[in-house]
Amino acid sequence: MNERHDRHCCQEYSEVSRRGMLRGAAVAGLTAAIAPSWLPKVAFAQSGPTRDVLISVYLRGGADGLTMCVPYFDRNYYAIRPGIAIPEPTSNKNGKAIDLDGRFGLPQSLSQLKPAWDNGHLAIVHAAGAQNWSRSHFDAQKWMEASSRDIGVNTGWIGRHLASINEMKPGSPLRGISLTYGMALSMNGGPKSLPIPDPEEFDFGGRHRDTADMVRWIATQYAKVQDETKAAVLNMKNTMATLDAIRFRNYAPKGGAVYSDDGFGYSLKATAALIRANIGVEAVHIDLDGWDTHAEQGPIGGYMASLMNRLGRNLGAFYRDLSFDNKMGWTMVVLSEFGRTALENGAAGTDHGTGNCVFVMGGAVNGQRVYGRWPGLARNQLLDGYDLAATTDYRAILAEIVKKRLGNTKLSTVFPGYTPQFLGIVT
Amino acid sequence: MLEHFERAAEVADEIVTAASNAPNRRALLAIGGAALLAGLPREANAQAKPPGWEAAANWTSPTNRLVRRITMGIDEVETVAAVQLGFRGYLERQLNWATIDDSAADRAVIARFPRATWTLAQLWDRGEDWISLHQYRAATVFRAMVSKRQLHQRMVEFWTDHFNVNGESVGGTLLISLVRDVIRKHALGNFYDLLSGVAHSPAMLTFLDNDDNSFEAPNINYARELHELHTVGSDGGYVGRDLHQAAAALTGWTWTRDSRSPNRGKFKFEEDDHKPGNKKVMTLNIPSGGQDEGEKLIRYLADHPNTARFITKKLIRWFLGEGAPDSVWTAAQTAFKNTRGDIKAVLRVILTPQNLMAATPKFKRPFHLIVSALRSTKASVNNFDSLLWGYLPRAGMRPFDWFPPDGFPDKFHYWATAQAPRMDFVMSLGSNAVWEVSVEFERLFRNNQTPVGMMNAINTRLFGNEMSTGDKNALLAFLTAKGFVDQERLRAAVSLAMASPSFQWY
Repeated sequence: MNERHDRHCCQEYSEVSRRGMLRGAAVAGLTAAIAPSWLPKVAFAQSGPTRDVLISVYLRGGADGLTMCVPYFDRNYYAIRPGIAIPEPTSNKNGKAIDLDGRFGLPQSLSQLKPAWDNGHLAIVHAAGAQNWSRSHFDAQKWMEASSRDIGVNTGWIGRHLASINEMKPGSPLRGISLTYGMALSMNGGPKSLPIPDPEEFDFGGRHRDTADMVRWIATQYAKVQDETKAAVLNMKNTMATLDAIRFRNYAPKGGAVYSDDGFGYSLKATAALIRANIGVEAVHIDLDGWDTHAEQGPIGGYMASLMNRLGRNLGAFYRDLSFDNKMGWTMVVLSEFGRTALENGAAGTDHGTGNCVFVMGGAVNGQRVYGRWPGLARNQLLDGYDLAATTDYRAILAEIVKKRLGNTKLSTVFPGYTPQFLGIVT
Repeated sequence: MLEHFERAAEVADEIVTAASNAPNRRALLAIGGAALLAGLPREANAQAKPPGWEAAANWTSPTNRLVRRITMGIDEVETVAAVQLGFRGYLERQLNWATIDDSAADRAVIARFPRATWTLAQLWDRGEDWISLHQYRAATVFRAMVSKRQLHQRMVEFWTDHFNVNGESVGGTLLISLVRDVIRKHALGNFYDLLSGVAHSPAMLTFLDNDDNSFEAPNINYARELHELHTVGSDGGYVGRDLHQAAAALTGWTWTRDSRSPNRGKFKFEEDDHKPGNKKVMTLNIPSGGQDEGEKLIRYLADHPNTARFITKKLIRWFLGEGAPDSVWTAAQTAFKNTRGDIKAVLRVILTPQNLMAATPKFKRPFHLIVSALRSTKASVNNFDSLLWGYLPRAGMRPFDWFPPDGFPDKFHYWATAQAPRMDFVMSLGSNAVWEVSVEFERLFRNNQTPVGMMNAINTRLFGNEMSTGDKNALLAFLTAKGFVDQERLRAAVSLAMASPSFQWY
């Protein structure tokens, strides 16, 4: 980008960022000599105690937690899911579960999560969620991402977290990145947060002669307005320069990690590059769509199996990549708006339900353990007669991460009206 | 000049008044720490002006306001027509869409996107569904650009979101039979006809799994969205039991997949899959009666007062933005109920000069931004592929791509932060860098050699002469900065006009 060293515009806005750049320039020479080709030529100065980078992965559509973390010890599971249950680990059937703790198991398609589990870097909370909310995708996603049922709240929990804590790396132009076309609601309201579907391709576009002039004009005009577009455009200009310095396409994962060659794989690979580039990104949001399996769910060798395989393969690659040289300053949480009905429906699928499993991965996770009180799958234990109940409020998990790993004590701002009881998932 | 500013200030005051009456604003103030929660500007809530007010500061002409809201973007032909016909005359002309001669657009669609005009049977028999979908997407963008029935386009867009189905999920054939044969047909007609047409459409039956809803294996997906999204709204007075009862009433509603049948691709009622017995949905008792149960339910929901409430609220947001006074809502509901769902009657209540002058600015969604840029610059699009495979999907808004059944959001905050793809498009269009799309900058904007002349041409074509003063002055400065305006500089100025805050609102 031409604008990387432009110091003429968006005065008050880029001031901090410019200082960061100048400070970085002092160490740039050193970095350049040893840095791999994808690393930014302009690096920020190392600073202060670090907090974890948060990675939020959202499985849109309502992922079936009873398939993703199989409660094989509960015999009712096999009674209520005659056609789509994952066989227990000791079974000799095809697609049997991989045992985790003598009670729960992973489906074969998530086998690549096993190394993180074995190393104690992966924990699962089961029967988590929000009780008595809504079985509507839109309401459930909105309320979960906003972490509020108040209709006037249009910010997300990650956004409020970022808004209520000082910058991890002062001067960074980009604190939150939603690797989606539109901003994920979870991150809405976050300062210096942008939706960037592909961080490699982030500029003002076009083929103009006077681009530098033009970008300056645009930044000046947007600096005068008072709505959300102002920060968006000014951030964009600063972010462009920062991201432009990272050569995402040349990023070489470590430890032989292989990400899949699709949007989700690319998003995780880009996340790894962002973490290694150390530009001050504090939160990354990634979506994986397609979990609304009303019919022909295919947990073994079918539709959902291939989707889980995509999830597991890339989370596994991410773990392998960053654990290889112990770059573990991150915590990842995998959420979905709700679980699915415990009862299988007439079309070999499941409908919108309640309780679900939540995966938490990272260097400070007290892993190799399934957390949460198991509500049971007997008819009289099911919520409304067909759902896995939610015995752990999903906010308890998020709040613990926000406080212990992201260093934010303002939990009543991030999760209004909620007082969490921590489970001890992270240190 | 002073007078001009005073008028602008009055308009801005009206906007503020309207916004401060907004129910959601009251709700916000009720919560502690509302500013942070709601992501409002850091200024005090009470003084906050609505987003986009700067862009709207010079919007003093009621007919221009109408053109902005009921078209896909300012275009000289429409702004002039609105002045000639007057506010009411222009609105009536656009409401009576079928009487507007649109034969030029129709002919072009037949020539360029023939599948958009094929019958259901032709589409079915010829297959290659993805080509049909692609051509229909292209025809949708094309009509939004060039159709003279602009209000109809806006309403097609509204109902396509309201009754959203994902194009790739259902395929081109079923999508076309829904959007063209139901939504376009009834977009300015009667709500019941629209609802009923959608309920019988194979696209919706497939997308929301009602074709899987049978006696043995009930599936309440469609029944839920029928209530939550299509009619009474999520607070519309039903409970889970009502949805199960509604789903039972709709068991057996499916469509003919047999390619040898003369009814291929059409609705059918499968008696064997229907769950017999009486049902009760909210206050409606439905006697056991096969297909008629579902028909009664649709009529009941179309007539339900909460449907009038929900639909008019959404229409008001579509045309007036956030914060229109409750009195408009009340009047719109009355019109809806009195006419039993006549959409034109409701729009006449909403689209008054008074309401439009007080309305808060609306942020152009990416589709709207792109189409309005193409309209204002009279761009020729020889091939829609660069839009359909590049700019629109990157901006998150290719037609029929939205997956959840609630349709593309009509919310500023959802789109506000995704500036990169918007900038990319206008900067590319302005440098003639969009493949197979071209703009004649010299002919349109260099009406004389002076920077002021060029500035005025831009202001007229893109803003109906109501560009904000700040952006206008800055653009003039850009045009004069080098002491000459060559081709490249003129294109750059038009790009900046489209990238400016002023162009993002309507």
